[in-house]
Amino acid sequence: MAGRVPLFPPILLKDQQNAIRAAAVIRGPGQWQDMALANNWLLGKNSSLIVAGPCHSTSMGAGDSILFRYYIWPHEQCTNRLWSVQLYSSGTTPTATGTFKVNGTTVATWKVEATMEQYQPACFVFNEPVASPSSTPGELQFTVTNDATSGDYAIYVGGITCYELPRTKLEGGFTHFIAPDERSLGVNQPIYEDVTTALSLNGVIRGAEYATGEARRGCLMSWFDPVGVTSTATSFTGTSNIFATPIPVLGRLLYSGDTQRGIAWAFYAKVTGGGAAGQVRVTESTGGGVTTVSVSSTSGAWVSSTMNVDAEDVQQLHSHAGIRNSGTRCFLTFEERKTAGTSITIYGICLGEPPP
Amino acid sequence: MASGATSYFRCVVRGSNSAGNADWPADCATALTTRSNLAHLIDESTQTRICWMGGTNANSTYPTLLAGPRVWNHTYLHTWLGTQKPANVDLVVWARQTSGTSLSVRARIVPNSFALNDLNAPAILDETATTTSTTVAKVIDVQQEITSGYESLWQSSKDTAYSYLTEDGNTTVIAVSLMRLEITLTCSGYAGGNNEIVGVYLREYA
Repeated sequence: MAGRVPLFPPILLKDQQNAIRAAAVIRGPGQWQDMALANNWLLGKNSSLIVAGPCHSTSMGAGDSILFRYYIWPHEQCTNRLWSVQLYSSGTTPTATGTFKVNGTTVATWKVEATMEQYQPACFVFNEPVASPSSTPGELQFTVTNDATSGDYAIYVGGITCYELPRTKLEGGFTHFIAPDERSLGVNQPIYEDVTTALSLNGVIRGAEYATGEARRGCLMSWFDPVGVTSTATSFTGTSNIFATPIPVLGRLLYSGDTQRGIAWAFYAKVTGGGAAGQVRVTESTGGGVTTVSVSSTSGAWVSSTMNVDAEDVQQLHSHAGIRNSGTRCFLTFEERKTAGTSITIYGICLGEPPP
Repeated sequence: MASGATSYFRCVVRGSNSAGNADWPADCATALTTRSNLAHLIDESTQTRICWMGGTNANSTYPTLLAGPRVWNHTYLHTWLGTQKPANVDLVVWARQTSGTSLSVRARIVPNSFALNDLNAPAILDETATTTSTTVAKVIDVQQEITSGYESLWQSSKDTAYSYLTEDGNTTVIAVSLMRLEITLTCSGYAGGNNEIVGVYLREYA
């Protein structure tokens, strides 16, 4: 059973609080362990890898399968991934199996039996221990198969979400983590870090820095449609818009004074036809600019890039819900076009906040 | 061990700054204060929980929620509101009606301690809006404080409404508490409307 993030944050010793708030000298005996617990509590509050949304699931008849793909920007501090899946069916006693894959490697298979009532979602969660935490962006795959060999009921995927669970206690050995020398963890031991560029007091600063930076990471959008959205347009016109209306995006504030946040995005797309080529364009509505990338894969591949979007405005929390520009939302418009060949098809769009 | 680590006090006082100076640097005080302010802001940081939009490309499918000739429909989105204290949600719903006299959209957020199909479960957010637009329009745009229900997120043992995963090898089955967003769509005046929820956006902030 994975540990849950405590309801209340770990309480730092008074001296440590003073040190943070008034730059007083830090005194023992708690040292790093207390600091790390507090930071981990912050880190673990909210990290999402796949933001919730309904899957564009076509009906899966007997024996049918659907593969969903999502692109993620994970934490190195992650120890577990928590998947939440909703299935529903037109039948009364369906069964479904599936797999979770990370960068092509199966991390788990699962089976749901007779838990779905007709048109009522069956929801299950899966806790995946992460043996080798990594901050390398990559693909999460989720496959669902209708187990029926015959029969008329269908299975649909109502939605999928994925969260990262935090490290609930301090462990050494991570270069991108709050990584004190393990000897520091003993009672009455000094704050003492094994990264030479961030010794001692500066290590505390770095810990807080990571807490603020990493805790502000998250997924902004996860969209995957197994059918795909196809365009034969040769220019970025109205019919090449991928969505009915632009989507709102608001990045998390990293440093006070920032007005925009750099985000990463990835498309899963392919082009068809002889000499096929295409482009995907993302336009930000409040000054973040326009980013265009080329698509050349004829079998489907992720294409990623970065751009700026509005960051939350803490001065606008009460009057405009943190939305910058006096409540004027930042929207992203997605467009596609072919530049050669027959068509371009987009299957997935994922937006995330990379590490600072 | 690093230099100056013969006592914890000495180690701390002689910690290096970002420039590598061994003595207590004046800028450390500034740095710590700045970081403290930032740490405080973490609790106020925004988190996107749901972000979805239907495709509208003329040459492809038009996947939407709740599409079809139904007078009434009901669907669920599930998310985990991770804030561990009362917070706010920023909810936007886009929809359109293609027939009938009006389209009513109701969005509720319900703690998971109630059955999925309990339409009378108490909601911590309950918004209803009506539109007559035949093009995609924003029908709900609301920010509301959530002041109850969070206890169940981390502490409740009443999260048994969720079904379970058949274990495979060393994988572990756990149950967590989720919030669910229920969306009800009602078309008045005509039973055959092709009315649609086109997009849903839910953001959590403090």
